[in-house]
This record gives sequence, C-alpha cells and structure tokens, in this order.
Amino acid sequence: MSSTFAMAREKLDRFFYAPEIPYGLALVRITLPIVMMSMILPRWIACREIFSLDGATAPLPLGYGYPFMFPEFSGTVAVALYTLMTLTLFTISLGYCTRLSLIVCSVLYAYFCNLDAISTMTKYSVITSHVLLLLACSHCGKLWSIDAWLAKRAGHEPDYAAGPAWPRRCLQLLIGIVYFGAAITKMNTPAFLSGDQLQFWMLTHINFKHPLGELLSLYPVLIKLMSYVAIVWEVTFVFLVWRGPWRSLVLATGILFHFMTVLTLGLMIFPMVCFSCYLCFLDETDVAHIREWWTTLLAKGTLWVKSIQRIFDAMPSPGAWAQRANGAYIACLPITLAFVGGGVGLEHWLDRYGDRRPEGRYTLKEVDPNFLARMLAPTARIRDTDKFFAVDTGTILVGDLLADRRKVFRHGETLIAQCNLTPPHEDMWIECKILDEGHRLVNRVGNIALREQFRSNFMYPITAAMEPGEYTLSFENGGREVLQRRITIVGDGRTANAN
Amino acid sequence: MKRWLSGTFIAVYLSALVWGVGAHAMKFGVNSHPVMYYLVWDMFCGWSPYETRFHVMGEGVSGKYYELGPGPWPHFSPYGDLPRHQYDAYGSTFRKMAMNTLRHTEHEEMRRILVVQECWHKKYNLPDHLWAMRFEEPKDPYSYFWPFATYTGEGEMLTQNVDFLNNATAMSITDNPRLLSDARRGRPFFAINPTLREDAPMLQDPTAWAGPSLSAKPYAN
Repeated sequence: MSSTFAMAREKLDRFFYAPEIPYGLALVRITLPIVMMSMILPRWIACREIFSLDGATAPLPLGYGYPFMFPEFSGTVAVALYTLMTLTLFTISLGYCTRLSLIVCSVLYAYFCNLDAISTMTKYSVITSHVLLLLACSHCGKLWSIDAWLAKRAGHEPDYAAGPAWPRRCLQLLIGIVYFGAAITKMNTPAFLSGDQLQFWMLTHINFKHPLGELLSLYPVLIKLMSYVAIVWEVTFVFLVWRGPWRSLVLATGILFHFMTVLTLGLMIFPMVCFSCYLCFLDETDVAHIREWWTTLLAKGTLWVKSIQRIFDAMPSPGAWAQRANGAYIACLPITLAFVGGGVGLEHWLDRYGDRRPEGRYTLKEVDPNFLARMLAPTARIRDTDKFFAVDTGTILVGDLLADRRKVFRHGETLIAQCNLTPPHEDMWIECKILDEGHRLVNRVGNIALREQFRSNFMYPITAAMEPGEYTLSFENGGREVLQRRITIVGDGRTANAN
Repeated sequence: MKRWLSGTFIAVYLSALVWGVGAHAMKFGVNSHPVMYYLVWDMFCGWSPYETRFHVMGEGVSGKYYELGPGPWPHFSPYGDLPRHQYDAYGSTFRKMAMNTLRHTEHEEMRRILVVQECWHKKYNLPDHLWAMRFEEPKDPYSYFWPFATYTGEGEMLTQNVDFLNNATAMSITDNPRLLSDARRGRPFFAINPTLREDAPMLQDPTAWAGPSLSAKPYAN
C-alpha cells in the first residue's frame, strides 16, 4: 500500500517537477502577446472612453455587488497605464525583462478587463489572464529571448534545463479544465443539444462576419451532430491529451474546432488565444521531431526550405545580438518613460472627443424622424409569422429533426411537416390544413405546441385517397393562417395498396 | 522553500479551478464574487432567437431627439462593426455613456434620456440567396421596439423595464386567467416591501409578471 502511494507520489513529482527546457512556454510567451495586440491596440485609441473617469467604464465587479473594487483614474493616467501595458506586450514577446514585464502586464491587463465588462472582459481575456500569471511563474524567458542573450554575454550560460515543468503542467490542465467547464455549460443548456441555440448563434450578427455559419444554419441535423462531437471532445480532452495517439487526435480536433468557430460563429481572437496556448503541449520530444523533420527537408534541398534557412543564417549569432543589446537593462527605465510619455502625447494629439478641434466641439446628431416615429410607437405584439422559424416537409426524422427536406412525395410514404417554432410564444393550437389544387380542404390535423417547444411535427400518410397532383399545406395558429407550403404527390395508387 | 511555495501555488491554483467547475456544475455560488468570473467557464450562455440593438437617445427641450449612443466621434467597435454599447445586454452603462456624450458635445438642454430596445427575428439575418433556399414566402423583416429605460436629463433613473423578450415571455405566461387569478390571490400585502432595505440582496420579484407590485419596484437593492 505504502509502495503504491510512494509510486503515485513519485509520478506526481515527475509530472510537476521534472526539469525541462521550456520550449512550449517560450513559444506561448512569444505568440500570445502578438495575439493580444489585436485586442489591445484597437482599444488604445478609445482607452480614455472605456477605462477612465473621463469616459463610461463598465466595471465587472459592479454586477456582483462590488461597485468600488477597482479604482478609476483620470483619462491621462488611464492612457499612461494602458500604454505601459502595451509596451509590456512587446517586451514579453521579445523576452526583455521578461518576468517583470509579465508581472506588470498581468496586473494591468486584469485591471483594465475588470473595468470594461461589456467590450473587453470575455472568457478569452480570462484565459489570457491565467496564462500571463502562469508565464510569470515560469522560466519562459530563458529561451529565445533578449534576456537569454544578455545572460550569455555576461558569461552566464542560460541553464535551459533549470525550469521545473509545473507552470506548463498548470497551463495544460487549465486548457483541459476550461473545455470540461464549457462542456458542463452545454450540458446545462438543453437547447444546445437540440441544435437550436447553435443555429441561432450562427445567425447572430454581433461578432465578426461568418457566412459559413449562415449556410450551416440551414442544416440543423449537421449542427446537432457537431454539438455532440464538441461535447464529447471537450469532456475527454483533459484525460486524453497527455500521451499516445489520442494526444494528436484531441489536439487536431481542437485546432479544427476553433478554426470552425472562426468560419461559423465569427469568433476571431478566442481561437487565436487557444492556438497560442496549444503551443504549451510542445515538449522536448516534439521539438526534436521538428528539428529532424527540418533537417530532412533541408537535405532534400527544396527551394523554399533553403530560402528560410538562408534567413536563419543571415540572422546574427546570439553573441552579436548580445553586444548590440549591451546596456539594454540600463535603458529599461528611459525606454519605458519615453514610450509611455509618447503614448500620452499621441493620445492627447488625437483628441478622442474632439474637444480641441478648430471647428469646435462635436454636436449631436438628430435622430431620423421616420425611425423615431417607429421607435416611439406602441410596442406591437409578436407576429404569428415570427413565432415560426420555418416549416419543412420530408419523411425522415433524425433526433427529432427533419433529415430529408423535400416537396415531392409518393403514395405509401408518410409526410412529416415540421414546424420550427421560436420562443417566446404562448401555448398554441397549430393546425395543418391540406388543400388540393382547387383549394378544397382534403384533410386537417392539429397539434398543441407548448410554450417551451421548439418543434411541432405533423405526420400524414400519403395514401391512394389523394390523387397525384399539387397540394398546399396551410398552417394556422388559432385560426389565423401563418405559412403555406406547396407539395407534389406522385404515384398511381397501386403502390399505396401494396404497402 | 522554493519547492514548498510552488507546491502551495499548484495546490491552490488547481483547487480554485476545480472549485469553479464544481460550482458551475452544481449551480452553487457562481455569482458570489467577481473572482468566480475567472473560474467559471460558461462560454455558451444562451443565444436568443431574436437579434437585439439598443438606441440611446436624448430628448431636447425643443422636442428634438438626438443620438447619444455612440457619441458623435468615431466609435469603437470591439468585435466587428457594432459600437460598444450594443454589447451591454443588461443596460448597466447606457446612462453613463449618454452622460459622457452630453459632457463632450455642444447641445441644447435635455429633457430626458431614452433607451429603446429593437428586436427582430434572426431568420431575417439570412442573406437573400439563403432565404430562397429555405423559405417559400417573401422575406418580410420586422422590428419590435420596446421602451427599455428612461432617465432625466441629469441622468437620474425614471423607469427601467425588463427587456422585450422577457416581457414577451411573461405575457405568454399571463395569458392564462386561472394562473393569473391564483397568483394574485397569493400575493402578500406589505406596506413597505422588505426587499427595499438598503442592505437587502439583489432580488427580482418572481411574481412581478402577475401585475403591478403593491409596493416595490421590480428590482430592489
């Protein structure tokens, strides 16, 4: 028993404390700030408006009942701090004063995110905060960094193997737990597993453009299938990502998953953050494989490989870099002061609110009178047509979704007319009337659709009693016609009798 | 010492992550502290079938209406082409944004500030060629406008309503005379509502839809 315990402890010890060269974390350190710049730089222009007393902040803690958790500063101070944070992104990526930069960036990034719950604080900024904290605890600056070159010049060979694995392990566990938590959210959301919410998300115009999502929203069965795959992958990720063939599979699935969120949901920064975090799964063995692969490519002598190698060769040696970087630490303070001062000056010159424009301050834009009249009119009740998403016809149901949308039916088949409903709607009596070409009533069937229902199905056997020809399905809610669908029935009646 | 510190960090950090997942799974204490936002991974909170936009306007003493959100300067769009205020689903910063716009512009005196919510069914977001693939009927987009909040010209709140979709849901529930009668019969009478205490927790009256409250606003703090 005690030996089992000792073995487990030794395994755990090896898992967290095995010394390793921090290849993965160094790559995360280099790439994550580049991704972060895509969100930090656009906000810099508006940081006075978003993060200062001279604007309209939206503190996150306010929603939790802690309105004064973070101090708010004047516009100039906020700009200075924000510019300092921007500078740290550059220094982190270059690996200059890495740990100090990471600590400063972690604190400032968390502060600014907390000041803007509506347009800066998102789950990807939370993940980024976690990663910055873990990088600050790591030795990620010991590799591929200005710090490493400076250390070499000073006669201290960087001890690549000195770093324990635990910051990388924590980051890997963080990614797994994030996916696990996301899966729990989806499990707690019944409309996710039915595919309905994902369909609405694909139709939402609040993120970046995502034309593939709009197209996919027409195929709910596929969406439902993808929802299940996503949940299974998210739950199993943390258990399978460590070794063997599963490792490659779950990581490849992750890359595909996040890439698809770009195309179908219009997410941009979240996938980039995740891609850069995935680099922490690179270990020494992977780097050795990549080196081996590169050497093989080089030996083959492909033109593009040689070109890249020439660029590598043209780069100065670490020693040369070290000499150029001489005095870099001494220059740290004046560089920071100059950068921050320049940022504050530039922001003042850009004049966010136009207070110093030659033509005077901005004036307000009048609301279009026609649009105003619509806005101020009494609110209309939801139209019947808006309680329905669509009505489809077919014969096969998969997971309560119509799998074969079609309009031509043969005798002997069972027509399924599926009303896709959109809440909020009241409990409804939906009636489906079947009308022939002369608009004569052939049959009528009705269903109660409860207010939480997303679908109501009408099943109708196509028998020889219905002559081949064109028919109209008329759907009514409370006696009011909402939608019509035209179908065609073919066959000679004998098929129906045979069935 | 270093080993002891790192061991403590690992234990605390991983415990916090596990706590967040557990709290989220069991729906326990998820909103207890802002730190929970860093530990709960609810990336898929639910997307409604309706697209929503907010219009923040000021009514001048002359009777003219002006756009206050976004301000007249080049607006900041965090995730596409929509201005920042469109991401405020709970409407907690509209007043601040409107007052900021007024502070930095030339304008007449404002009588009141209005926030109007606009909603339309997301099926109308489909481009025309995809619409034709799925629907037989012509595309007939329609927007619903709903008075979300009003403030005085100085920014004091006058009214705040639940959003359009919550109201529509409530309307569909109250479309039941028996239920409505039962709910009204069971409503207590308080001359002073205890939820209005200054130290009372944030509370939404779950039976507010049954009719005007006897003594309370829908939200009390």
